[in-house]
Amino acid sequence: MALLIVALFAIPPLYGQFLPQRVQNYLIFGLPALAVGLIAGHARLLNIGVGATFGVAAYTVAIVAHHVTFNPFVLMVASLASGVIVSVLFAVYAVVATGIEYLLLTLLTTAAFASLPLLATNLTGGENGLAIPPQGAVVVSFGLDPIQGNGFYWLLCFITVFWCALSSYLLSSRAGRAMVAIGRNPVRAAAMGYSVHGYQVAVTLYSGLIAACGGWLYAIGNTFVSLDLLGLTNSVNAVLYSLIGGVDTIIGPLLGTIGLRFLSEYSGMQSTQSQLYVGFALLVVVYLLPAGVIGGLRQLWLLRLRFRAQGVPEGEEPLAATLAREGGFDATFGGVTDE
Amino acid sequence: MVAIAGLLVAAACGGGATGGSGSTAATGPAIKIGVLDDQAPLTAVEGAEMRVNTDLAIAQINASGGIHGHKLEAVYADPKATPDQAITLAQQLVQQQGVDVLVGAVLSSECLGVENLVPRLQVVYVSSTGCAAEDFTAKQCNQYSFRITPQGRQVNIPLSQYIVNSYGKKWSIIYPDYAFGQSQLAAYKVGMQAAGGELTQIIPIPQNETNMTPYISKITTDGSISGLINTEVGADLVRASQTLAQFNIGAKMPIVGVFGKERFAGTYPDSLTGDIGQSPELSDPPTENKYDAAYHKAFTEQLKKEDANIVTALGGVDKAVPGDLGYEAYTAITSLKLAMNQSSFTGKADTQKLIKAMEKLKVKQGADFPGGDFQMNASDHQGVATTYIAKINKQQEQVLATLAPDKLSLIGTCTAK
Repeated sequence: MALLIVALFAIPPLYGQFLPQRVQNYLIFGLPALAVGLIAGHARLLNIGVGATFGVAAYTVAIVAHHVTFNPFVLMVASLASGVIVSVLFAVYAVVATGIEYLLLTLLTTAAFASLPLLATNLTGGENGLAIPPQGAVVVSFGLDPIQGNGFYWLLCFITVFWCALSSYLLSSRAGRAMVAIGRNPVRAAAMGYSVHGYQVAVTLYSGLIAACGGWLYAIGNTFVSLDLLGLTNSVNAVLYSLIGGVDTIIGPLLGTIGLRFLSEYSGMQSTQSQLYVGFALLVVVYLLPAGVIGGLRQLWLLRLRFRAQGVPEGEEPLAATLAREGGFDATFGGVTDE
Repeated sequence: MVAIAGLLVAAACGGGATGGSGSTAATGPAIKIGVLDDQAPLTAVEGAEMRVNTDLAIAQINASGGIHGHKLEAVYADPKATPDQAITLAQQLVQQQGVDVLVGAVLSSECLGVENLVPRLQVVYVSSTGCAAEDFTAKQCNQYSFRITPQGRQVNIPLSQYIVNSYGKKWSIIYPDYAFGQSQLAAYKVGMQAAGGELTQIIPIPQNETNMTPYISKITTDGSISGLINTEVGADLVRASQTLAQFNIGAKMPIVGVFGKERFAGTYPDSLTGDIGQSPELSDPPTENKYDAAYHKAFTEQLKKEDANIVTALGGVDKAVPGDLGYEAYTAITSLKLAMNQSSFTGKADTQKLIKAMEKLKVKQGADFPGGDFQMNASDHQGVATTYIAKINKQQEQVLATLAPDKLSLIGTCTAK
């Protein structure tokens, strides 16, 4: 993992040729995908509202920068706060609804959010979108130019690694394991004394904060926001990225984002029917890797260990012990057994 | 981990098709034009017209020797009608593909996003098909961005003057109740006020409304209204036109609406007969305009070389027409050609010279602007062009009036700097 982090920080700037700018775009959209992975993959709350949180945070930056101030700290705080406020709404849904009702509530709310900018077009630019004035383009990003140099890229890398590390730590903690257990069987978890609603609210707010961070970074990186950031398309894309990469992993959503966005951009330059290729790729992954790329790799690893374990005489060492000893799964996944 | 690193490196190597037809041998390095050509279902017609007409213009330029011996080469990218993709791809085209000029992006939000970016990329950006937002040159203009085709109040004001003078002062308007329709309403309000008329009846219709009857039946037909302005587009326009025909509104008053066969796969629905509209390019070339006839013929020949989905989107080789959507794309490239020739443009380093040449463009009707005359306004980088007011008569377009470029209004007070 340390090597991967070093590679992330070092390889794109060394390679140059637009790679840092391309990867920073992937990382920005990887954060809402990570949020989906946490709330849907681990906590089993299928929240379609990630796009709304992302979009509101982005619009907050643009509106405040356009009408009030370019101060990057003010913009960051305002953006994250607005995202958390939106997440409170989705947290309420988690308390009052479950299953399909919860899904529909988040879906309809996200669809409604897409119309919000049209209610105050002087403030938001309406369907035309809203630009951060050119004189503030670099000021809002702490003086780091997103399209030149590597400073903004390293800032993004640091923020992404921070959220991944924090999420990994929380998942392996007692609270994280309780949250996963609640996601798998809330009735059993409640019977064991865990506050189901409390954990659901906490994970909703936490994932909302990550998505809001993505929205903040998007706005200061692109200096332009538009309606599509708030709509269902952005939310569904985050869900797709997460599913393709591996919804119940930390690194999977980021990989899914990189893979799908790269495929979309590349095929768009090669063909006038790029969406056909993206759709085909999605079909292949859904049928061949239903657990996502990382999930599929993990299953292959488990299969390999099982084949190896079959050589051990029965009764001498349980398979679970073999897996724990050779794969280190108990420590890595916080004791959660593979179902 | 190796796979992940490989994926990152592979991401650096992605992209870079050399689309278009400028692939003949060059005497000097090719001048690259980055084209943001949306191929999403929402923008299928616009994207197809942009592709065909960009390829056509570049092929013609290269066939005549290019720009001082340098061939033009189109590098296409598909933002899929999403502004964030348009911004990312615009940046990629310039910084990775090394394009010298940017063109395209259909939706207003896309072209405004790219316009906001180009001062930092320091390349000229010319909008192509679409990009109808007034803000592009009325509010958000900058020294690098240009728009060739007149938009919004530029054409609505003279059109309003014509219809007020021809038919009367009091008008009804039906419009789709979302941002596009609301902007059309605002533009016609300005136009009517300038013309001494007024919109006495305003009827908003929800977007994608399937039952138009409750709205169309509100239109006053007792003779107190001089005419109807219909700003519906797409499928809503077809439904509105059919309902208007059911109520025989067209027989009772003139109807002003959207124009252009290319929006209807090359064939006007019968329900549009009698509608009046405006455009810098007629769907069928007037017999006396040899330049337009040559343009239409070349368009048809170019269309035969394009992908099947492009041809289908435009209604097939036999029916497809460039229309004003295609004309926007064609003249975006021909205007660049003229400015590049004047400024001896060879690449991005000559951007400032290209900007000065674009600002001074003044072109008579000819092969480069077959529809009519053209002139660029140096202050806001908004073009004005000969505009035709015409009436639809089944599949024919009968020209009622011709507006010279100097008859079109200023779009705003922005100063490109």
